[in-house]
Amino acid sequence: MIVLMASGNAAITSASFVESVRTLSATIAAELAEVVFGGAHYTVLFFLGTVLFVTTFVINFLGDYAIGRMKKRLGVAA
Amino acid sequence: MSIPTANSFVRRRRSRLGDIALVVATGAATVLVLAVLAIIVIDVVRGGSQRLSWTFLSMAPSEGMTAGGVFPAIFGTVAMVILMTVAVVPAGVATAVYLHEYADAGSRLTRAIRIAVNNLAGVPSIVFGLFGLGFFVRFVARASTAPSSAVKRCSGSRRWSGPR
Repeated sequence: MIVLMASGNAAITSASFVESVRTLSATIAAELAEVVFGGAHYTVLFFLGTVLFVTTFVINFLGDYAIGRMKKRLGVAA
Repeated sequence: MSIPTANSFVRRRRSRLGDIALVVATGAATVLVLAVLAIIVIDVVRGGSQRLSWTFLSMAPSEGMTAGGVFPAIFGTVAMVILMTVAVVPAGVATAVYLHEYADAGSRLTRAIRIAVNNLAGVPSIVFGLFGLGFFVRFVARASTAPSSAVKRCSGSRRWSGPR
């Protein structure tokens, strides 16, 4: 929620770091209350959610793999 | 996790200096954060204490949210916390007890559960709110409209239209 407030939630952004931006999660939070259920907009929000889910899952998985390898190398019980 | 190395004895003096520097740095950071917190709390209490009244806490907002109180927000928060606690604590405690007491630490199933739990913590909560909303809209809304509106309220509606 704080991302929604602090990022500015701008629909159009530039490459500048000092301008307002918008995040995927903030987009879902801001627009979910206003979409038609089952419509194209609703489906796109689910696509955004899936993108976030898959990205986070892959990064988490790679991190877990790296931690497991490190533990094995340092001889710590898993 | 400290790994004893062969030349740790040689490095002891230098690392002691590093220890002192780190303790000073973390202490300064703590004091800084506490000072900011104190400033915020003092400012809020000084500016808000005269306005705080029982009617503010017990009334719904009125006149286009420029007057009245904040009761719907308080009620909604308490209701959501109680509902979610009842729904989630049994599953969470059961998972924790299973992982800690019964599971074989190296097995595939345990690793899969740990990855799933890490994933649950890492993925933005709004994503699971969205998926939950989709579930309620598709499978539960026909039977009852209450759960879907509860999930919708928790997963992002910023509007305040009083208790529904």
